[in-house]
Amino acid sequence: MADPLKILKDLSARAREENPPSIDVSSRVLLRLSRKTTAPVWPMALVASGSAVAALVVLSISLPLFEMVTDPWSVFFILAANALP
Amino acid sequence: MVSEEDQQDIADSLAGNGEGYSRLVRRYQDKVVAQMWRFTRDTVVLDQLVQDVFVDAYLSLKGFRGRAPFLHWLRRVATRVGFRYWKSRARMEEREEALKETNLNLPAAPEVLTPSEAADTLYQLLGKLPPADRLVLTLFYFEECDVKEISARSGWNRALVKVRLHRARKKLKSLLEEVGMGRE
Repeated sequence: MADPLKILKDLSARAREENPPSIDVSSRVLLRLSRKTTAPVWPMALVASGSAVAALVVLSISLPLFEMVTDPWSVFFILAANALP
Repeated sequence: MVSEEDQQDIADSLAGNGEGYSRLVRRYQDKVVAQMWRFTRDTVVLDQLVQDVFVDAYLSLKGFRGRAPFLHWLRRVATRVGFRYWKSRARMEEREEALKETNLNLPAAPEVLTPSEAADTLYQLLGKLPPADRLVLTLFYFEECDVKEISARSGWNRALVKVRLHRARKKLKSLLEEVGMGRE
């Protein structure tokens, strides 16, 4: 009987003498990593539209307040007109 | 434990400096290529696997604690990538069918083979086994790792490594007998 483990051992010893191929992957690795780490477009679009909505809300509140400070009489007359029957 | 230049390049890489990581890749890629050459005999796949190792390593670089040399940690990542590749291949292939189609021509004396022929034969031979058996035998015989090192690279505990090694040897023996190689 030929010992299978001896065959395996001898084959491994012989195979270890082989020189592996020579390759340089550094540029391809960096390219893949740059693709992976680049932020996708859709979250940026989401943030932009969210900011626009927030700005509109802030303006719709602050503009009447600003009006009340700069021209209180007009606000008074508007409120008074609304209060009239 | 970690060399100064490795420490510097790791810190640069974590800070987002691509040149720092590029230096690490260039420093260790020959060792990783040699290791991944055990997992494939196809140079196109080899290139892809080596890239996968460095991409995986970069993505988990924050987890590197620096208690052992960087190469040891990288070898663990490489083993994981290679094992994953074998598992995905095994799922695609019908091993029993492959056994019928491929003849294993083991020589009486491996010394008559060139190192490349020996590596091809060994690759085909171990390719007949399930991925876990294949990995444990490759690490033990081909890479000359002891049980402790196999445990570190594979993530299996030492008792499991011993059990797998024992079972894999038995399977290999019966496989060789099946194809008529275990007898003279």
